[in-house]
Amino acid sequence: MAAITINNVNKFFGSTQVLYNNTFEIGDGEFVVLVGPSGCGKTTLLRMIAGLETISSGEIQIGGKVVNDLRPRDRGIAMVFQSYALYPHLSVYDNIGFSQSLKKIDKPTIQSKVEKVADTLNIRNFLQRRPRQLSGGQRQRVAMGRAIIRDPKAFLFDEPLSNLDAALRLQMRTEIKALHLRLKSTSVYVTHDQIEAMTMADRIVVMREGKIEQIGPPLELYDEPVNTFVAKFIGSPPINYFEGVIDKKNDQIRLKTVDGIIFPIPPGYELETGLRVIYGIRPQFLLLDSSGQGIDATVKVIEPTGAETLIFAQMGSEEICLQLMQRPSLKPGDTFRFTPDIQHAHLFDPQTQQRIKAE
Amino acid sequence: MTARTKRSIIFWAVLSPLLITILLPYAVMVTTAVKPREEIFAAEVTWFGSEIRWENFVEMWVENNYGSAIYSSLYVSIGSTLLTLLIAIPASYALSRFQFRGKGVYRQFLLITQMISPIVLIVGLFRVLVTLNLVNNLNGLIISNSAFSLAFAIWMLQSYFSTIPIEVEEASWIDGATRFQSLKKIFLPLAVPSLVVTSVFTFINSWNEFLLSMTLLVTESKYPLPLKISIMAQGMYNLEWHHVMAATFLATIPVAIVFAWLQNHLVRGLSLGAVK
Amino acid sequence: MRTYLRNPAFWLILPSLLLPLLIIAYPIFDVFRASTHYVTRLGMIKGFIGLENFIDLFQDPIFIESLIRTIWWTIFVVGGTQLIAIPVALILSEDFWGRGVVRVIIMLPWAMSLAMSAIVWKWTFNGQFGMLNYLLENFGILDKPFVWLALAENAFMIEIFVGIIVSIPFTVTILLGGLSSIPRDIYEAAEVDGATGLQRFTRLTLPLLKPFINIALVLNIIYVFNSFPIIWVMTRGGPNNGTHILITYIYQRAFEFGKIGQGAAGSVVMLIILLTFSIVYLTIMREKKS
Repeated sequence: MAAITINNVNKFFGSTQVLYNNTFEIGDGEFVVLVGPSGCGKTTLLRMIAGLETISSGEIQIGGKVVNDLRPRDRGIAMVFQSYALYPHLSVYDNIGFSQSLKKIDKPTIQSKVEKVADTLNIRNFLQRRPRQLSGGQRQRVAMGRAIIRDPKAFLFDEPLSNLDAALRLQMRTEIKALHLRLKSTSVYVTHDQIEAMTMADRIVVMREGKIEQIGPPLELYDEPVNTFVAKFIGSPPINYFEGVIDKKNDQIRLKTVDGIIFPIPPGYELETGLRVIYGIRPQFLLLDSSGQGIDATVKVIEPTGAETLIFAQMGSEEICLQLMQRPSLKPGDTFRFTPDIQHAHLFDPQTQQRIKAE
Repeated sequence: MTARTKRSIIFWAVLSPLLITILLPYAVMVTTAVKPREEIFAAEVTWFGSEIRWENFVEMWVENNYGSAIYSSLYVSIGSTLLTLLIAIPASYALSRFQFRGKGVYRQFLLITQMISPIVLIVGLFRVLVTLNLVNNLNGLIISNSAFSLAFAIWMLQSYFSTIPIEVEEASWIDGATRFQSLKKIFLPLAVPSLVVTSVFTFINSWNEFLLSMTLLVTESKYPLPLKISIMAQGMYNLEWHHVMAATFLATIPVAIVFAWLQNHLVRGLSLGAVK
Repeated sequence: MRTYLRNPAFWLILPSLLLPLLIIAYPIFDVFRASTHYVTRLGMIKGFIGLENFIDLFQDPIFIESLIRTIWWTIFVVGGTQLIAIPVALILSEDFWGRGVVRVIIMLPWAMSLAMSAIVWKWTFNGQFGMLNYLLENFGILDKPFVWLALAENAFMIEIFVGIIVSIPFTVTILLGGLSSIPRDIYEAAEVDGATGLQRFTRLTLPLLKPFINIALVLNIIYVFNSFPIIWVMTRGGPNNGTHILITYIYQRAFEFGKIGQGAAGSVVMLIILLTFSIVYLTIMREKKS
């Protein structure tokens, strides 16, 4: 296994720039997820690590060696494609063993290697079948088997779970992570699904329009998003946020929304009255208030998921979402009161979209 | 009676005049080819002869040096097919895999060559081949046939090639294959069906070609089949029609069988490329 | 230029550019050149004679007749083909017993060389011994053999008939390709919306099929306009030059009468007609799009 270094990498397609000065490191044995909306460049970056796209400027190192000019086959990486890209005319056995047969390894060795990999992935029974005879999950395993058998320096995953149904996705997610823990493999995983990112990554790289917004462990991104984009992208249901103006009453600064609703601000901020800010708070940190002191809202939609209840409500001119562990007896149209757990509120600058840090 | 059966009867009834018209020449060809000569030119014309005279075929072959015509046709058709494939395969691969400026112009260029038939150019083409010293030379035919078959071959091959996902090739590169190994072990096996179909149709087009052969060849022994048979069929009197039909039969039936077998691939290939 | 040379795609398509340039593009240029010169029987260009070849042609009544006849030929063959091919394609796109067999039969004329089809039809229509006469006499439609190909008008009609038969497979193929690209579910949606069978045909099928009908029309017009073997083999332009179309007459003048310069001039006329047609067609198409 090896570490991967991305150093000031830029990418142009013709005259269009799609990646801007990307720099980060992936440690040996680390599982890093590149996540972002469609078109943010995450797949392009992955393909540049693989050698399937050229590097316009900057440097990529694998295991300490600069690989800019190396062909994919000389980089020692393995890749699992979104469509799996299995060889349709070869059996599962030959698909997995293809890379070994190219190296002219003798047949008995190939056989033992393929069988070992097949056992690991529980596909020993399909070795003689063709890809078209397999289900989505089985194909995915074959694609992984093809990668594993090569004992590569790093694994690259390009949205491998997008083509699976929800239940299968959940199962394969766990399997991929378990495999990673067992093999201690350096992995770069691309997805647009932030849940996959949160559950699988050691560290997440959030990308938008070719630029890296934030890098960090999942919980760090969740608790301390550096800007509104990251705050909105990570976490489901997404963070509540609305604009307001700093107000002062009795030496306490607080936020006043456009409708005049007052939100308390956590301690530690030195802000001037009249300053416009964006207030962000996650749905699980809005609590139902029975003491009569809270903020009014009217229920629009209630979504009971079994383990929790999501309430989408109208607060003045803003729409908010509450994520409650209880099952309140509220119906659409009812009014209720809530209070924010201000320890977990964030403030963002409307101009720069950056999070304002407390002193 | 199910709806399907009712439909089938109506459709067959409506189509039968057309079907009979299409099959009539084949029936005529077959029955005449095996009829004894006397009965063809008899006062009373009948459908079937009194016997099946297979000897007609042998007579025809010997009297008309049929073998040389078969050789010419085979030589030109195989040659044209090989040359066309040799040029079309790389071009189709480039079209389906690479981006390059002028791709649209290139495509239009091919479309235009498809629309210009050799017939209009025959005067100019004749002079070009005279200059190249390829008149009365079967190789001249090979080059000409290939040029006119290229657009069609590239069209068909490219539409099939595009259905082979490039990720499969990329996966093989990552697995350690060189570009060449990837083409040989992964791409080509997947492309074989389209290569077969395209070669067959190019072969048939060349096999049936008439005008260029007639214009460019002078020595009768070099004449390919369509030309030889048309020579046999000229003249108003003393035409050995049973020979002519026997010759046509041999020249056509094998091709028709292969064509019938593969024609639905043609539909698929053309429709993939025709949607523009 | 340098970027072209470095792109591997360029080298891959290069041969496919060179060969047509040699065999197709250069002869076009050459035909134009030869048309304004005196050309020997063996194809050697001698002296420049301006438009003399063209004048000779247009003063030749047979040439003018052939020109007009070519237009009739194209209209009838292409029109007849479209009229037959559209219903045939529609039928073939439905599921019924023996559909595969019917498909194969309809495609058969494509497998046969045009020249050989013409030969077989010529024999079928033979005045004395042909099968058709025999069949018609048998069914009582004729009481004595009819010499079909003796008169130019009759022969021409027969040639049109043969032209239609051999053009049907190609046209049906294109239309079938078009029909197969129409998704099935829009018909179901229309049925739910209350459309009758006829309405579904006129409002859904026809408009969606239009681009394919157009392509088939254009290609057929070009192929039929240029179609040589049928007329040449069946009547060689006779009797009495009565079945000549442009291409057969031009060919005869060039290669049988040795007037290659005139042949070139005639080819230029044909090219100009085709070019005009293409331009007019493209203009109409472009206008339709906007």
